[in-house]
Amino acid sequence: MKTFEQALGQIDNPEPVRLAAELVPGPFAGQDQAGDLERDMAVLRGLLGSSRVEEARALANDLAVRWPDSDRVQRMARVLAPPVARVIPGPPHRSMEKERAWYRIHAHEYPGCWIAVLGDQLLAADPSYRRVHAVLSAIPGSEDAVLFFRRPDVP
Amino acid sequence: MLTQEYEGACDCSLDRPSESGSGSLLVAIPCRIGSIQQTHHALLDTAAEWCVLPGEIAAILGLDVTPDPDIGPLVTRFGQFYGRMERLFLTLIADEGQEVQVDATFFVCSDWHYAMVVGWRGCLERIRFGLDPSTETCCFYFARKRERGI
Repeated sequence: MKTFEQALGQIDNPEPVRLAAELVPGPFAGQDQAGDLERDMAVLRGLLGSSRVEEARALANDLAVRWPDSDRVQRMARVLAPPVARVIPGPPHRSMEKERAWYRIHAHEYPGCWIAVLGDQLLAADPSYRRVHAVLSAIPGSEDAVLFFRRPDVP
Repeated sequence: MLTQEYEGACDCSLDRPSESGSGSLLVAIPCRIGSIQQTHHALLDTAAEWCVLPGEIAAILGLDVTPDPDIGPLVTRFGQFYGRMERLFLTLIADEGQEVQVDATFFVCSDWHYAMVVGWRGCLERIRFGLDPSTETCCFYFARKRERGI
């Protein structure tokens, strides 16, 4: 069984074979349960911080079993789970060439802005997404608008 | 000759230096995020560890944007950002074929005042995709990931 310090040390010194269950001791091996939970979460944070995502996923799954009543742990296991992709049946989307053409010509006029375009018409442009969304909410048919973000000009 | 099959395709936007005046070459793909109906162009970034969702969009979707102490900072060329992980549906829009929806993981950050990012972990890692820049714009092809030989 590895100590917590050894587990953290592994984060900076990756080994080729690592089992999630080896990274943390059992829930009742150390101090109180709250301390154990904090220790487990620290190891998980360490794995994520060093981009060892697959190990973080495996550990999060283990911790989800170990801590079934912890919202923090259950949440981490849920958000770290591998993504699932599925096909959405339906007709193809309309062409957005008009919007893209408008953007190519005019985008430089709105640096740092969210830009909403429908056809060849500008509906809204503002650095605040919230304000652009509010404008669109008041325009019937704007659910078909196309939004771009124009990054600030680079010197 | 290798032949790849995809489920959907869509023209995407190329930010060419000659058009934008900047030195960057960016690829933006059209998608929908969560329940927001409008199409958004998001930066396709295979080098980004996670998808990134600006806090303002997250707020529109009713998400909490308070940084999660269990999540470390996201390190970017713009600096370090603190946020939280959220699971959201990202729909890749197809003007040929069919749309693909991904139950994706996003790093949500209220201080991220840039474009939405479609990154590797929690999203692209489960999508088979290709880019064809031979057209005037650029075509983004995509499909659900399949194991080799299937």
